Amino acid sequence: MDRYVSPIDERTLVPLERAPRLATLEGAVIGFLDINKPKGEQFLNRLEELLTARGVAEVVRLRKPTFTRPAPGEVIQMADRCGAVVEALAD
Amino acid sequence: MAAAPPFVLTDVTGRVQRLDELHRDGPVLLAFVERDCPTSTATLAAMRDAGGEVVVISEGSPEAARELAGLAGARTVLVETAPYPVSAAYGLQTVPTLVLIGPDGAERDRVEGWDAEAVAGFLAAVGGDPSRIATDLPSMKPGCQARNTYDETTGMRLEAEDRAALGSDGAEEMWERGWHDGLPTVPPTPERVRAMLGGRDPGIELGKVAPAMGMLTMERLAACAVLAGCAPEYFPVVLAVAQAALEDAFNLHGMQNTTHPAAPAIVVNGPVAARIGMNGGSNALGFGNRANATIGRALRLVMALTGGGTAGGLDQSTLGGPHKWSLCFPEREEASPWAPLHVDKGFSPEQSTVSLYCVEGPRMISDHYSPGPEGLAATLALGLADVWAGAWYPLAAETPLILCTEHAKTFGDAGWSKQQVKERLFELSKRTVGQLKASGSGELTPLITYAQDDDLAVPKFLSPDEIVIVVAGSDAGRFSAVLGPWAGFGLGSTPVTRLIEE
Repeated sequence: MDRYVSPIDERTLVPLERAPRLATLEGAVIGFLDINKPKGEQFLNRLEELLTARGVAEVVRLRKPTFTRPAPGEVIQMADRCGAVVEALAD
Repeated sequence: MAAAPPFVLTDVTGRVQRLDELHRDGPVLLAFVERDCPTSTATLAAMRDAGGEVVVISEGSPEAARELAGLAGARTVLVETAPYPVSAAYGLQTVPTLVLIGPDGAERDRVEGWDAEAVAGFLAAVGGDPSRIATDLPSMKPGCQARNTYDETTGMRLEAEDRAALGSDGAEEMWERGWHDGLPTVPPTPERVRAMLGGRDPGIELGKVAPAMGMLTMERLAACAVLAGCAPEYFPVVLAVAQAALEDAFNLHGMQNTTHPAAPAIVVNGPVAARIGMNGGSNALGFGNRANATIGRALRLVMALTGGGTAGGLDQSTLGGPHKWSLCFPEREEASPWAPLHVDKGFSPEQSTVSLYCVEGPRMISDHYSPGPEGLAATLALGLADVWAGAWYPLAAETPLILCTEHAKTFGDAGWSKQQVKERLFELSKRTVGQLKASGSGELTPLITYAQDDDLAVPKFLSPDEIVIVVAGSDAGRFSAVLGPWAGFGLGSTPVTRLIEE
């Protein structure tokens, strides 16, 4: 028994497994999660150009309604058909 | 050979160490030791300058481990406290016990007590230099009984003795565990947590705290209240605060992750404030009052510890602010010419409530010269117009304006109702598109574009009711304050008011 009562939910301390990495970009379907901050699409547009030039078959553009809240379930579900998703924060 | 039992322990500097990472780059030697065992201390001293991948595991209190770290030189010293689960998993009978682990995680060999020849072989296996082992020990020296072989009560008693001997009350351990907000905390012993709970069921689940989504149980909330320094009579307020903060509308998720300095401000209304000794007078917004300071801090600790929103971790606020420790105060209802905040919201004066707003730090607005309400309103409106950024129109979020008692009295004596004040501030804080362009910042909300008519008047707020008036402060001084909100248009956080159940 610990000498103290923990304020922490120990389950949150278990590191999450990283998703398997893609072996190649050739023919891959890549999702972008735009968190809907001003000018974020400029960055993602350029990223789409770069990935397409490297053989990515399709870029799926996902968008959160607002950056201030978690992505709704339907947006997350749309990511299911992607081989990998780029989820980046803004600022 | 059998796989060595995996473990995760914290070292004396507070870093979390995992066995699989310790042996990833090659074999490692685990040295189980105990401060009160002369063979343990002599073994550490003998090996100190011989290098090699050696990790020390100290059976006993963190204070004892720190003392051993002084003998261990540059080596990592892990803290293994009662009831010593790692020692038990390794089947320890004696300290010191040296266990050689291969890079595959399997135990290769072990030796109990001091055995100069065996230690030399082990050190060579982990990349050390056996010729640098101090030579003042005999070739063999028996060890001491390992603590994990005692019953749990004995282990706890030994650690209590350690701490007493080393002059510690557990405060240092709170830093090592990371159970703090940058200021010292009170160790949440089972006795203190029980007193804080006041008979409530510790297992009640109050909800998950974003962003780490740790479950806030009644017991964890009580632990946070103890850590924060709360007295048990504050706990009904702390509980209402936590429940309000966990409502979806309040959006802790966004608040914890934004780069804005957003943090909860807590306004307490009703008789509970006086009953637990809160301060709505001089220094109401900080510092010096235990209840004000620790109730707000308890929520911060819930956010940082249960919710994982540690500074520089999941909380990446650009600047943060001192209000993020605690911003909690009662309305000074008896000094107000108007009904208090909770009565405006439909509660009775005899009820007590907490109202939570998501805000930046308080921004003072001085007006010592306006003889009447019109001039004062104009000054206050200038302060409101400047919130977020002077050109950021509309702001469109509920904004607490903390009126000092003298400012409130100026309005009250002139016969202005609270609603009239809000309506006047709403009008006076409008700006034309031309004025906003002239501010030069170019930072206009997406609704306002340069293409629009320069004479168009844009309101800062969507309605007068977005200006939330609360009266607080001492009898003297004409300094009010505005608590600028986080993101507007319903995107950020919706304020929450909740009844305190006593």
